[in-house]
Amino acid sequence: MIKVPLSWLKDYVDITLSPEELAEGLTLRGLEVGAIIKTGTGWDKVVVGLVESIEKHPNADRLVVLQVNDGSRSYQVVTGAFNLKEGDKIPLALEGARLIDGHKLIDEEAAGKRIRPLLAGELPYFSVRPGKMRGLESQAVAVAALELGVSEEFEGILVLDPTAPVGAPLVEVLGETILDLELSPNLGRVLSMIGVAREVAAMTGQKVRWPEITIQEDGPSVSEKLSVQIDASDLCPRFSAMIIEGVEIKPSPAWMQRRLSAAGMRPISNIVDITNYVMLEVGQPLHAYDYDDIRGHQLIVRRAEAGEKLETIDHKVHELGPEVLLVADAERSLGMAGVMGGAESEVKDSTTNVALEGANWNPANVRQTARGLFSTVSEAGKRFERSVDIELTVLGVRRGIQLMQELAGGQVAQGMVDVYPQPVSPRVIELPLSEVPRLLGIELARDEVTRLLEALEFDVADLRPDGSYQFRQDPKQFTIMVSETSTTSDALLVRVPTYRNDVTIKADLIEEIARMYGYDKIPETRLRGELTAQTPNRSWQFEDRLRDILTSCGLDEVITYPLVSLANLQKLHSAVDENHRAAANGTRPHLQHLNWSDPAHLLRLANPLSVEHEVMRPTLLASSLETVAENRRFVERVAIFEIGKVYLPQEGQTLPQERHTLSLALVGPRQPLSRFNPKAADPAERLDFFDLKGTVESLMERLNLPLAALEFEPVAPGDAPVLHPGRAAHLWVRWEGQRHYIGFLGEVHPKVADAFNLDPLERVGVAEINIEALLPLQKRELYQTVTRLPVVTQDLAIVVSDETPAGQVQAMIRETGGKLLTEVTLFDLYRGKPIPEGKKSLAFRLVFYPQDKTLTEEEVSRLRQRIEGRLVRELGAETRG
Amino acid sequence: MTITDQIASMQERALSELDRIDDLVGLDEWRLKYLGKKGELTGFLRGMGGLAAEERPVVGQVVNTARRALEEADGGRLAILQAQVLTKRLAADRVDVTLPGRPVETGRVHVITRTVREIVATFQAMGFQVMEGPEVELDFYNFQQLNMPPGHPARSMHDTFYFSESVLLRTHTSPNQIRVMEKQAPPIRVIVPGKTYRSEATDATHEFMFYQCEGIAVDRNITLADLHGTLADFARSLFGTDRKVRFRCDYFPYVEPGVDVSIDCLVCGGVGCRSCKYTGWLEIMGAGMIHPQVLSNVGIDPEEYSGFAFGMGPERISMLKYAIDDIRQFYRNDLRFLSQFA
Repeated sequence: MIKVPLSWLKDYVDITLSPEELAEGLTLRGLEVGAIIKTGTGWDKVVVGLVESIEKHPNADRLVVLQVNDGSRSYQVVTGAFNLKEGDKIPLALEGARLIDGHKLIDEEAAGKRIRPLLAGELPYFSVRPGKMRGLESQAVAVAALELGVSEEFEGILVLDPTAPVGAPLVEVLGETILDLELSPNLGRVLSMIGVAREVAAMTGQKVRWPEITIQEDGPSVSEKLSVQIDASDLCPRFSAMIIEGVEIKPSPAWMQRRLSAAGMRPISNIVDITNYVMLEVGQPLHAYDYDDIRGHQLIVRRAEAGEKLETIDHKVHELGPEVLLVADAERSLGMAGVMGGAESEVKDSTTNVALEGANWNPANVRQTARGLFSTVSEAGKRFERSVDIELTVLGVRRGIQLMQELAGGQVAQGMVDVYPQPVSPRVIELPLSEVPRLLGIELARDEVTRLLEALEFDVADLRPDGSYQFRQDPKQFTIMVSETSTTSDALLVRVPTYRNDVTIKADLIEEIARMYGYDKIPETRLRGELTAQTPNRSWQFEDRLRDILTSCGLDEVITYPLVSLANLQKLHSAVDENHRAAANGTRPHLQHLNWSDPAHLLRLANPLSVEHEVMRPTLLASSLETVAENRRFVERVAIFEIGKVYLPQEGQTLPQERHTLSLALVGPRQPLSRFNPKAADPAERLDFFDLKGTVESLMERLNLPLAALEFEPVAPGDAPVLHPGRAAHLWVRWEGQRHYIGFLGEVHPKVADAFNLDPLERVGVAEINIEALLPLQKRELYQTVTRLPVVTQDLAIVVSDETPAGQVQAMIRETGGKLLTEVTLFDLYRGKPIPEGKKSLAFRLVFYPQDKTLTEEEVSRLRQRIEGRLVRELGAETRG
Repeated sequence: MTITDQIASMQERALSELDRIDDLVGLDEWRLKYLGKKGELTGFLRGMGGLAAEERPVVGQVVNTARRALEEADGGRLAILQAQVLTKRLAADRVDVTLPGRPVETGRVHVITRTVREIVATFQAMGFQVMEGPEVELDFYNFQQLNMPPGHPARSMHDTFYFSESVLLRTHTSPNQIRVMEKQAPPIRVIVPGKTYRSEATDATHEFMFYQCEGIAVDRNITLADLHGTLADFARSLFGTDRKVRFRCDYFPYVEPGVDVSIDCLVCGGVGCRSCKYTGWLEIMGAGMIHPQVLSNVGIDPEEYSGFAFGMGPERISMLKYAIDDIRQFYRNDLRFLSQFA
């Protein structure tokens, strides 16, 4: 977010801590240092050399011969650079040093293989070796800035500060330690060297050193040269500007280029560089106009007209609307306020007169424009959208003009245009001292709180005997008699510096106190006091129970994305034809939700990342089948469940129903291949409808729903087209005289399996169960007496029509057997000889369970006769012994 | 040969025969032959009718002595033979114990479920209750009530999926702070797990869907020190009792003061490594004292009540705990991945 070269930061505050300690301290205080970058660590064998003499190369006009001393001896160096004079100190690369290959970079750029900035991406290097150049030995290399990677300068040799000690490793002189700060949105005030320096000063008990600003203003009065009009003062609370005439556009000096590069900005030319430098230094973004391009010598801040066009400095033409704020002249727009300047009025090589703008813009508006029109937010935009100190416009412009005068020459028009319709007065917050223990859990004395706040340039007022308050830092400022509410004598009055836009209420001051005191010094205490009434979350507990039961049934839990693709939902309907559609929309309301791919009933994102994840799922099935297919590439047996929500838009409601739902999916061998199960691939040994049904039955039993309460209704043609029409059922639970629809289970229709890249010949069992329908079907679990009396076990075999559902037979037996008949287990199903065609034989084991006395032969045989009689009468059954 | 001698000789013969018997069938035959109803020993008793009256008790005694001797020998032989039979059966039963066992299919909960359960259980023990909230959420709850009005810069940290201008996929579980406080008066201690969504390109550390666990505690006199104690207890409960826990200043618009909670790096122990980006610390959650404006928004008087809130990502917690290096593993649902977590 902002790169802070420590050598630059040192201008404003002494750095007494190591870079690591500094980073730690800033991080703890909320200024997160993401990385400490150290440059120059690769400059082995590059030292500070003193140029002792310069002579022409006897054999080449474009070369010179230097004698350069490294403090212990002189080296003869042949170079093509002519910018040196005797006594200059330069980086000298000795044998074995590794430098960036500048020639190669330039060649690559010329060949179009590399675009600026050159110092980006993979860089080519070369090793310094002594050699002959045009017949003369060159024992070392005089180094240009590009070869070190500190800037793009390659024409001349880098001239070092005259105070650099000869022979010192270059890293000691030019190496840079840069803190890379990742700043949260509230920290606009820290997006500058001064901003960071303030925090360092507060941390180490210092005061910030501001740059001294002196300008020679001997031009005409600025009011003769420029007028500024604000037509949208809600979006532009302040606009300051100065004029400098007769500047010379050229590269900025090496020190400024180095600082800008180290801070991550590319040097361009002196005027533009200065605007960026001041922004990085004090935090006020500036904009330099070519004064001669301002028609009518008038700057107007106004909203764009609908359809108005502007070409920005990145040479893109934007069509604007009235939400965009512009700086315009009498005839046309010149730039987007706070976001990006216009191409027509930008400073160019021919510019001689400059108008320098330092303005304050509405953060929300800048944010909206910057993010609406550009893919990346400019450095200025980043600062304005986080809010900039309103008092900074004047200082920023003056600092910019000072540097322009120093580095580009020129005459400064007298005075400044400063349009500031409604001056902002500093905010004063009343802070009862008792808030510190109430919110932080520590007791701090008034003096201590004052000291902590003052370190951050807050001004704390003392209560004077006459009942007024007087601020300590600025005694001229005092507030007579604060309101009636502030009668508590323990309240501190705190005046907030204008750059602290983030501090508006007591709690903000509490945070400032906490971070200055040190979060690490705040103790760890435990919650005390009354607990909330403890009410269990039934739904949460129920789902956890489902998970435990299903994992004990051997199923693995999966969690899939609720955002699915429309295409996958449509795959579920691969087997749908017109008949199905009619049926699905027909008269079975509980099945309406099975119509999954109808866009009218889907919740669809307005801004999806991809079509893969565009729709909120109305069913878990599509994801289940996808997960099965993915896993089948690697494992044979997949038995999974998911507990998640499906999302069903509701008529007349803003938010959808989020229905808690369970899905099951089973495919593959019943048991994995092993020596116990060598025929795992045999179709008879593979999971099918009855494994699925068994799992569902086990689940229901464990949920205390008796099997007798479950009704498995065969699917009717068309009402569950995702399923195999002959191997699927709807599940109902009979509960207190009502039938409740719980969900469905069955083998997937082969066409659907095929659509999901599953083998259409393989049986894939799936179920989807509405957890919310199941949850209320809970009754108290009542203990049943366990008898010590003998139980009576009998087998019953009957022959019925093949069309008679086994479930009906079983239900009839159970019902007729009454209380005493506790178990009815179907243990044989047989068709074929000697059973007649169209019939089947069913064999049941019946267990009669005595209630309070031993069952007699007569009792049991009476019951059995009654059962048999009813089966014969009502189902046309024949008994078989 | 006296009858007594005859008995002695029979006994000798019987015992020597017994020594040669090596199966239970033979033993049964031997028993029948000598001790059975029609056996030799009984024969002597039957023959006693021809003896003198004074001889009868003597012979009877001799027969009984012989019977006891033979029965004892029989019992001994039986034990030996039974032991031999058992040994033989055990030998025949022997299996190669290195053969694989019979597979039993067991299932597992998803690793995220497991982590969420751990988090929830830890806070439940401290009196927090589990609640859930909607994933399709109103902008009002997701942003506005949390101090992020339209245009707020913090919104740029929440890349948001929208259904319409006012309806979105929640970007965090924090809207439940509002939903809970709207319904319930202090004291409040609640933990809210659930799915959240960000419109972000996915990579090894970013998912567009992920879980969060949100917690709040609201009452009179809840302090930053309480936040420290509660969350440090939690961190040590999950990551080990000797973990160092660090609190530092951070920013979230709906808390003030804001807090970032870190533990000393599990990989390097705080020295600095790639996992902790050479800081020695691993962030595990964001937290803070609930912003007074947020309390006011739900009608709780910030002058009387205070509270803290925290939010953490079970994926991140799981990644730290199990050294998982790619967040995309979680929802790929590869059973070879999921089955690694007991």
